[in-house]
Amino acid sequence: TKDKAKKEADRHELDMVIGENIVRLSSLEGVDTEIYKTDILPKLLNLIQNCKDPLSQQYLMDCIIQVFPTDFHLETLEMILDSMASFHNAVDTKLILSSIMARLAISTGAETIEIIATKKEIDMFALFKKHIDRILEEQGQIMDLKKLLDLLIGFLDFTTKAYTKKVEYVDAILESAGKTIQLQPAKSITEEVRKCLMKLLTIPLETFSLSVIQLSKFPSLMGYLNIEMQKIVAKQILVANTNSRKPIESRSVVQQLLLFLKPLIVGEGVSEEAKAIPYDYEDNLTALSKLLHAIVCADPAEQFQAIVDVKEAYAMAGTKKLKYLAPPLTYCLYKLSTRMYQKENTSEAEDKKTGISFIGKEEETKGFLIKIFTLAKEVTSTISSSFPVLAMKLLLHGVLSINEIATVDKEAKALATQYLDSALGIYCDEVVDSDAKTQAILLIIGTVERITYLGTDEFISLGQKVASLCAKLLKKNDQCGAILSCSHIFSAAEKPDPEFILQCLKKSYALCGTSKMTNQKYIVLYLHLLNKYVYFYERFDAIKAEEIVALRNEVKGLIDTAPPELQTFLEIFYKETTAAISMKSENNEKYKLLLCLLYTSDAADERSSVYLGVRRLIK
Amino acid sequence: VSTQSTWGYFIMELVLILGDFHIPQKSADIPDQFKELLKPGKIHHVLCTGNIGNAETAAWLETIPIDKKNLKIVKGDVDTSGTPEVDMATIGHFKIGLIHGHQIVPWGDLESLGTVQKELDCDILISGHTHIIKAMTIDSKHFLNPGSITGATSIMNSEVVPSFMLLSIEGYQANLYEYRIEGGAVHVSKCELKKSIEQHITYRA
Repeated sequence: TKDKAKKEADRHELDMVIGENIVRLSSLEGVDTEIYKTDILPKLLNLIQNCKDPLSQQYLMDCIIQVFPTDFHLETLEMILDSMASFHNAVDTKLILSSIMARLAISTGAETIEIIATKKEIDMFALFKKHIDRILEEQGQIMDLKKLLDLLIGFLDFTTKAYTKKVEYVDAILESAGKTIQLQPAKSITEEVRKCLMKLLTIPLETFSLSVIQLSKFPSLMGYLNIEMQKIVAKQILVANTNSRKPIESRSVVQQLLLFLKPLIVGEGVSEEAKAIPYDYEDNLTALSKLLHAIVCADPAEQFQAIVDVKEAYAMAGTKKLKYLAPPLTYCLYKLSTRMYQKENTSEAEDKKTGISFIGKEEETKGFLIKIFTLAKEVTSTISSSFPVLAMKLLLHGVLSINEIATVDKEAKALATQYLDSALGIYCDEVVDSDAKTQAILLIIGTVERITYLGTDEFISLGQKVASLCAKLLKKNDQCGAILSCSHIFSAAEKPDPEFILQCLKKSYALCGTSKMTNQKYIVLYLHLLNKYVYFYERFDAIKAEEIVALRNEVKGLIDTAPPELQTFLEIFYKETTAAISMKSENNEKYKLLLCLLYTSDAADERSSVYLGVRRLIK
Repeated sequence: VSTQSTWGYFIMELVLILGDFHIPQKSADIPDQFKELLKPGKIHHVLCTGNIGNAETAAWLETIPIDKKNLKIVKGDVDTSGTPEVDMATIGHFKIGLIHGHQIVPWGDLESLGTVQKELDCDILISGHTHIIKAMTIDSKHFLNPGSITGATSIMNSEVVPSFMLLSIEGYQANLYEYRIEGGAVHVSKCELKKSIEQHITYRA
């Protein structure tokens, strides 16, 4: 061992000396490509071949590669590669190849290596491939699979960096990989090998992103990976696509992509879901969702077909995953529908009354729209039993999406009614929790208020149906608030009848009274009621100012007797309400009248004169 | 009320107002141009109207304010977990109320929002849900809607552009910046929000 150590040291010194010489050679002035090609390199290669010592050969090749500039190597590539054939058997030519490729891949000049090579008519790829293929042939059955794949990884790295558009080159490399694996027995496909394969499959993603689906050899290589790795690769493809910000413009691309994504969509089934890491699970599904938003085809019909393809693929994912996948599917369909028509009245963005004109032939477009919304409804029905609230929200959104079209088309109106009925059905039957019901009814009220496709009578009866649902809420104060909001439905009708509005207000008033028992903050309900009275008083003659005055007096009284910790807050709310009336009275006759009556009432009750007067006095 | 004679001693605080992401249900991501503008370390407060849609974006949002405590998020109609329905923040001399807006019918109706503003006793009420960016001032009370930062489809069935708002508050003065992406480019518009001193004396003394 002492001898060995000394030998090592000696050798090392020798390495340094020779290495230095080569470095000196390379830094000599006047050494250009020609001289290198004709003089220097052949002599060096001769020396290397003659020395017949594997370690030296390896070392010297390495020196040459690292020391001389890439331009030189480009010109002499063929020479170097050919000479390696005559090296000692023990020399690991794979390492040498890898280091040449690594050097060439880093293009430091203004022109890429690809352009330089094309100019000089040097086909780097072909040269490398020839030699690599030969190595794979010779060593394919005996050499460690991992080492062979490492060589291919190096080759792939070089190819993707040097040739940014040649998908076929990448496919050729993948083909070589496939062949190499087949040469060896099945048991040699270890975890290590799989990791190499994963690298082979993910390196192209950076430069090619979605074009990887054009690689015909990709799926067969994916097949060698286990499910977890397949999912990772599939996810990488999705992420690469999202990051590239490029839309997916054709249905065929979507179909191809879905094949690649199969492991991500289906996974291993129910057993795997149980032990899935929550973050990864959600992340994967988020990536699948984002895919839908990237699909933008020039032809809406093609886009629709692409979405159908995605829906079919996602249907195999299982109900639990549909919680994440159904909403983007539905919303993409709603969004697609907006491409098929234009609203004619563009004065106010929130104006509910608009005329519409269809893109293309009217009958055709209407039929297409019906198809879109029918499919969307189908999607929501896949989750209505497992995730009812979510399905209901999707349906309510759908009602408003189809609203415009339903104003001019009977079939659309029938479909819209189906949407609404399903939503209300879910609300009545599936939403059980009282808090959930309170939340949900607000969404229903808000949606119904914006519906314009129903005639006045139908609309009023729908409003009454919703109002009756409000009355069935568990807590009195929730009932009160909901019915108060319902009043807006009746005011939104084409020919609103203030009777119904008054009914809501009065019902709400009664509930305020009964809330006293259960809710300390019930006085707030009175204040909201007061504000609503003022709102409708301004718009409808049927609401009388006297009623407001009476209500206001009652509220004032309640505030005076409220517990002290609530008083400040209530007083501020009250003051702001009355101050608003005062402000509006400057320009509005009705408010002037109201203000007058309020003052008169105050005069009769001196104690409260300070409340309204403050604003006016300071002015 | 006592120390307000010296105007120069207020610090300027930047408030980011945004919401209605709906990622990944209605949109894939926040527009790159907006992500570029919203880097950590520059903004003091973040007020979010809700409907973020996924954990990763929520985590990104947490990195924006200089102090994580100054991030306020309220519950949208899509959110399921524990954010409050309403939240408040006092920045400079402005009392700001934050609510998603789906709870207030009719959706986007200014007067109905006005009732909420009275109840919360705030100078500025921020709400979302309509995905339409809007700033209105009625009687020195400001109503702000930052729209949808991703330009997600809206139930109001109108054109939506990606948008958000930035407030720079210095004591009694505030400047509002509206950011929109229209035709592929970012457009910024500015207006001033005033805090009424008269009101201040009347109600706070």
